[in-house]
Amino acid sequence: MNESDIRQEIKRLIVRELDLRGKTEADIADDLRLFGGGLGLDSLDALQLATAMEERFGVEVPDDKQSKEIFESVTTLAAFVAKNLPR
Amino acid sequence: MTARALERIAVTGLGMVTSLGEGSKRVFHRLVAGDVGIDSEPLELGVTLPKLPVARVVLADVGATPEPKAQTSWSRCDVFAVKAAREALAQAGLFSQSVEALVGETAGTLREAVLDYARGPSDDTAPLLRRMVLEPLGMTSVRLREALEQVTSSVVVCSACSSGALAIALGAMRLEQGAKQPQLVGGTDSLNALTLTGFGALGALSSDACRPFDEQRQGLNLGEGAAFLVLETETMVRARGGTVLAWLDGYAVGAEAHHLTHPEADGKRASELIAEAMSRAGLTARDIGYVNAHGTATVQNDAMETTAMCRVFRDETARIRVSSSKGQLGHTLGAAGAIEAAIVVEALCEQVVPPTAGLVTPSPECALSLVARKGVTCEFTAALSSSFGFGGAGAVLALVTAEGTLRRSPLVERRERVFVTSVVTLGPSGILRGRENARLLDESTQPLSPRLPFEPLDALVMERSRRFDRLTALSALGTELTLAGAARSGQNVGLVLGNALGDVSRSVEFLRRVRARGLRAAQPAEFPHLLPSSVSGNASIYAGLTGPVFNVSQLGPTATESLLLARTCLRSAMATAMIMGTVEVVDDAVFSVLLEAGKAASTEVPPTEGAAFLLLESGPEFDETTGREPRCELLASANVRDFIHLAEPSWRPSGSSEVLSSIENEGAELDEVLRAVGWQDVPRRSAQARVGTGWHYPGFMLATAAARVLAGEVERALVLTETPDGVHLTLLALT
Repeated sequence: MNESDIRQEIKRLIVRELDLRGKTEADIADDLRLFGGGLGLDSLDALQLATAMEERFGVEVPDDKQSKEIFESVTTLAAFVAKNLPR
Repeated sequence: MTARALERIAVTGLGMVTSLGEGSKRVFHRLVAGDVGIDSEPLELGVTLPKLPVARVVLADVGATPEPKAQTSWSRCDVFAVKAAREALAQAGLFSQSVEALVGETAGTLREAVLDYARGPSDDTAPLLRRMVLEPLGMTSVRLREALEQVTSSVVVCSACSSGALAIALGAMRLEQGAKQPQLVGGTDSLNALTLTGFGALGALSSDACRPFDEQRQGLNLGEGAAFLVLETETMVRARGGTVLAWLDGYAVGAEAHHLTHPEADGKRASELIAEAMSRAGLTARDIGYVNAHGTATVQNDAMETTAMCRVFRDETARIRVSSSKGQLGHTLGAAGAIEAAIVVEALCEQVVPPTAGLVTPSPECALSLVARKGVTCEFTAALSSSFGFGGAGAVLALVTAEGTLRRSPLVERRERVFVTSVVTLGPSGILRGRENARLLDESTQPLSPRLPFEPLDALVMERSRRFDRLTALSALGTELTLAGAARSGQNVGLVLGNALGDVSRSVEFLRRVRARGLRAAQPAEFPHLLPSSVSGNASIYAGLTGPVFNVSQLGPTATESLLLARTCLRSAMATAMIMGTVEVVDDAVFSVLLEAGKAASTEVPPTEGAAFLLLESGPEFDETTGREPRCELLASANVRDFIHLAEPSWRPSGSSEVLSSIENEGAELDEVLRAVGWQDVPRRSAQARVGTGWHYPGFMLATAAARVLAGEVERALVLTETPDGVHLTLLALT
């Protein structure tokens, strides 16, 4: 899976797992801020997304200081997943 | 308007079942000694769980029913409840005296159904669904009545982790307002795969024994158990020569209107509740010697609670001892508030403060006078017990030693009149506001669609209604519209929401995923929405409500109980207005189960779905009759046995009057009462043509009756409903 596919897949997960009714994958730009301003997600969303991503990609997203950077945007998430995909 | 000095409320009995054993005194002594009821032995719940510390109850014969005459086996949490209730009643010396029960609970009754599903060979969720429908949360009420003949009424209330304390506060309110029977109040819950996987998915569970207020704290340990208190007024106790264990001099119940799972970091609402409970008891920080905190050992709660306490206690913070019992008993969810209240009573009786097991090094953000490993002897007269749950629903109790004098000047109840100032229904006839609801009595030959003719989710702000199921959406929409109908904000307004089953299918789906795909498939953001309290919790956050917020559960209509408890909260000034609601949605799978079990109407009249809401207000501005536009007064709401004794001349029919009834077989008792108050020949009306049938119907009758009065179309409307405790009469009047 290349990074572009991963980004697309993550967007799909975001819309589905976080019940963003009325939004589509096309509405989520790669570099859109996911938390705080941007998409306005909260820490419960982060948890839900992390769980879904772990199931989908087999990659565990750490629940620590690092995670803020990783969860910045779809781009950063996809980069993390790509780097840690199980061989 | 009559004024009456409020009675002091006495605690006269305690009962406990916990992971440190049974018996309130025995458990307390073990707590003081520092014993811990938490272990990491494998827990067999059908789902493969990581090695998790939990506090489990060990009962010799927990599998067997405690009652030889019971037909089916009981849920574990109901066994706990009956045992604890029995102990409390025995200690109070009330062996045959009628009592009224209130039970806090979150999810215990589904333990066995989930266990069998998880262990069973088949993926098929039908048996699980069936059991969850037929043995829902409200079952505990049924079991208490079955096991204890003296329990004349019993209601399950749910405000998540503060349910037990809520039940106690409601019992006190009832007594202050003139209830004639002692109140058996408490909570129960059992370990089950739903809460374990759910809290686990949220990352809220610690992999070690929990450490409340500690700098290394990383989450809670779940526990199970039950506790009951017997509450009586001072007059009741003295009249029968009973013993006062402690006084429940103050309480406060409210919500944060913030977030379903995260508390407000600044603890502002929590501090208000602490201050209110103290103030109601006439206590200042100088009087408080001990606080049994909620202290779940999550990073967020303990910090928030500390902030809240410091804000209220200020300079006294360094002196007031604080401990959390959850390090020894775990977080017992629906039982927690009750177990901890009983612990505080024991502490007051023995003048010993129990410890906080698991606490080694207090966190810098928890700068309190924390009692660590063992209990300490201490002279103190007053103590607090705090509980804060999901949805920001909190309850704080203020207790004083039996020898302690009453610090407040006697509270005088102003006995203000209660008015219905807004009515909203959402049902087969669409969304009806205020007087529009009078149209529900119109005739109609149109067949009713079982499903609503509109989608409640479409009417809500998307960003604030994420993950709302239809039940929650309907509740949030109804709540918002009801507030709007009286042009009010949610500030100081509460909500009592009655719903029989919760969203069973949603819980089943959560569990199906876990069974099929393992713990990784447990969706963290789903779980908080599966607790019964999430329906009222979500609605209260959506509408910004900060008064008492909780669900009422019953295997049947809930409108009567919700109305009564809403009125109770209003009369005790827990809020300046209270919304009462009843909501039911139709789910085909659930309906099939009910039909097959003979608990639903035939397929010729499938149930409809809908929600009915009333806003109750009282206050000086309503007392003067100035001949302004028609107002609807809630003149009376009582069961058939009490109605006749309480009846006043104004309760007779007057001008144009009508009766709305959902009772199939009225019986001689009701007939006699109606005759005695002159209502026997008043025309009967029905809203069934426009509402359909279902557990929400009584709520619609109340709404319709109120609307008819508000529209000036009738002067008096009497609504007859059926409850497990018999027929209930509610009288609405034009003023």
